[in-house]
Amino acid sequence: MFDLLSALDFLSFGFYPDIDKWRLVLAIVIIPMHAVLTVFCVKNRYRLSYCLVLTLGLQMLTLWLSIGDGAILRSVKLDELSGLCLNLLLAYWSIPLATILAAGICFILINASSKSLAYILGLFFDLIRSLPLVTLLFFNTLILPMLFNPKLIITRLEAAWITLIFFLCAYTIQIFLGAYEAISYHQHESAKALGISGWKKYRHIDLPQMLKHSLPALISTYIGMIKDTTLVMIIGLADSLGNLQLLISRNAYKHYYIEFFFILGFLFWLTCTLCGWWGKQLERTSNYGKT
Amino acid sequence: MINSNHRILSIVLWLAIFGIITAMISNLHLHISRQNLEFGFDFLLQRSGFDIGDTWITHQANMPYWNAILSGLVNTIIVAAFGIVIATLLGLVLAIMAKAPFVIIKSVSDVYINIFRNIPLLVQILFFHTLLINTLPEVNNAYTIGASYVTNRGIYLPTTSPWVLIPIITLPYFFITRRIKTGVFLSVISIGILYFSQWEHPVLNRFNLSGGGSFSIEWLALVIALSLYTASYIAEVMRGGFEAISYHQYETARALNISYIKMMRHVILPQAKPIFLPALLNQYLNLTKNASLGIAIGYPDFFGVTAGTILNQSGRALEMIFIVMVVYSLVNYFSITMISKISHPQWKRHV
Amino acid sequence: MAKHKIIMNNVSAQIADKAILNNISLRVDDQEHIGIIGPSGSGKSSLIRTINGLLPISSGTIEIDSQTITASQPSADCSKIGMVFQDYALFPHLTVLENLTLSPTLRNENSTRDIKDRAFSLLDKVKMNGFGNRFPASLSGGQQQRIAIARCLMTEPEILLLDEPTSALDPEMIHEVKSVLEGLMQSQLSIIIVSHDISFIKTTTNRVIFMDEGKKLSDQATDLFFTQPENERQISFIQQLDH
Repeated sequence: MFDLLSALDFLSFGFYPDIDKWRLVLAIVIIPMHAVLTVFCVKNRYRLSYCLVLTLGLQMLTLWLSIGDGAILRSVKLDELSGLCLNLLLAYWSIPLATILAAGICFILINASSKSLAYILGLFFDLIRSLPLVTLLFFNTLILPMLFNPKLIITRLEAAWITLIFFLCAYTIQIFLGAYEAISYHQHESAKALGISGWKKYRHIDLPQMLKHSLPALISTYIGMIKDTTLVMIIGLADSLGNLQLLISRNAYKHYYIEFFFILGFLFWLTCTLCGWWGKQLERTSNYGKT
Repeated sequence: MINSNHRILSIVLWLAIFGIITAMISNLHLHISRQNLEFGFDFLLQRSGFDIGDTWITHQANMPYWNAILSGLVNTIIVAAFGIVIATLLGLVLAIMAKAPFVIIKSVSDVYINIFRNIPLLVQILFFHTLLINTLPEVNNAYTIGASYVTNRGIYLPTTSPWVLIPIITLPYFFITRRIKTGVFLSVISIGILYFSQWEHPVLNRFNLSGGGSFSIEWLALVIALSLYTASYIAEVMRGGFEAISYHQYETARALNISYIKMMRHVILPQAKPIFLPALLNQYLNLTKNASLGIAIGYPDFFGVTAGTILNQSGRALEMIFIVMVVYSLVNYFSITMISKISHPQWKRHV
Repeated sequence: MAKHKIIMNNVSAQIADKAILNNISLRVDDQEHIGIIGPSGSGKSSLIRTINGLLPISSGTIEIDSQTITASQPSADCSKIGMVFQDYALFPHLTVLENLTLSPTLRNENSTRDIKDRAFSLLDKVKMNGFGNRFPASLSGGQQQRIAIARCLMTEPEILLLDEPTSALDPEMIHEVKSVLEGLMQSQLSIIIVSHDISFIKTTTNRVIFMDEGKKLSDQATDLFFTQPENERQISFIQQLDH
């Protein structure tokens, strides 16, 4: 029997246990709420540290909701997290963390007194950027368990997560460094004349301007990341695309493959378009008095 | 005081990096010794023991591993070459459409770019693969076009010596540079060569096709998806280049009563080319890297052969990772060097 | 009275092997107002940039109060030195009030309340009351420059460096900035001003230094400078001004 609803359910939730689906739905709903809150924070010019705490808090909350096993929540196996929710959550768990990491590494690259340290870090992230994401995903599932202590078991999901963070981080660093170059030298001079230097200068003068300059490029990288989460299918994670492949291999759904591809394509199109629209809103609110 | 703080930060970071690397190497060593693995590249000379069906450089079971890697590399290059040509042409058409004075034509281009940019490439590859497999006929009732066959396993074409292709490939060059007489002369010669050269035709058997050359369905799906996807990015890049040109140029062209296509060809494109060329080459690099997604539909490109087949066959994970890293880094390094040379202002002045 | 605020001994500086300051010695007294004039590219701006460490020196020493700057020991404590730039260099992502309070807040010198009070009184002084919550991009050049002046006064400097404060402004705006600067000139600060506005230099400074090609050519009291020039180059420069 052809059953569209159960097929859609399989595409979006995969093997997640039925009783716990509300948790996943809640975690997914948090993502757009976080996006709206970020625009709100930028609009009211809250301190960056508040945004940071908010972001990390919501990340922890979604992690706990989807795969945590607290006192209230039943334990859910990592493998059970699948479908479109896996794509969205992977993107959500890697985008803010990669951005924060990239901002930190940029501080080292810009301010490090030893040039060799900056060189080594630059080389590492250049290597990441020169490799296609599939190769990184593929090899990290193989090699990460070897690099860590054998007692520490790294699942494929965790390996994919780490890979996505570092991959996105490598591109974000490049964007940030470009944005740093775009800051006029008058800004650096006046900061020095006012006696602001080091971390304080980076935090209060460089970083806000870098974020603003790099916003369009950042958003298109984020959209790329949302699309790239489908690659985890190649290392055998049951994301939406993997589930779709599974679905159309069944006899009942075999002849509707075009419809299913269109549905999945539409869902990704919608997500990416919303992300782009969110970026436009963010750009508009961080306009600093320019018309 | 600030300087000393930074020095402490650097030292701490150095220690951290050093510690992490040491820990990782020792863990790796532990792992290798525990599983009785060995590290070395001499296995590349050994007999591989597997065939690759879909190659431009033949690879069979009795050939060594390095030959398999080579044929995978050639496959990637061929996919990238076809993809780049198709994507550039399509992207150019879309970009010119996007600046066209008619709303309908403009919106066709906008819709195309919007859709293909916002759907994951892997979804597109799998979609075209599934679509081609399901819509094209089985071998036993293949479409026949002359001596060629179209089936859901691939397109089978008659082949001849590759040297024959050389005049045909060089033909467009003479027509583009307007050496029409040489072009016509070469066409006549190449038609003659084609007619008289030895052809090997594919033969339709009961369950399969043998002889001749073929493009596999995986190759076809990969090239189609890569070209359509990258074309949307290329269109965007070129449109950016067109928009960087002062609107006076457009107005002047209109005042001189030059048609839209001719204006694009003779006025706008020559000026926009140096502006968008670095970004365009970057898209070519992306396309080449994206060709590694062929592993999802089982196309034996460089990554599919090394990480897929050889790694499974020989279990040499570290060595294969090393090879893949080195090859992609080299490709990336040379492309980036070339791109930065091209976008160098001194070069621009000569254009 | 004759306490030296700044003593520069044989200071030279270079940018990428090109000498821009050549063996300059200079003494600035407490509460003295000094104007620096000279043709473009003569090293006027570079001279005052060496004082707050924006331009590292290659030889010589600069003594500011008890602190000494040399080629090997470049960093200076900038809190006593305020600087106003030609193109304002306000921080575009901060409001006017935040521009003023950023530096004192980061140094934790006073309570936030005191800093804010001081910022409002300074805004009052530069006649920019009620602009506290605006962004620099929404202000005119003259308004931005007045904010920049207020910003450098926030740190309660003892030395003020003005680097062509009116050069980037329209004639109308020059007037409003000049009236603020004239108010400043009444104060008890040591001020070094680089400007092409000769009439302004004539009326507000005690001493004028004439520079060309990185060298100090003359150093005279203001009234003497224009009436009794010391050397040929200076004479031709002053003649050019009259036309």
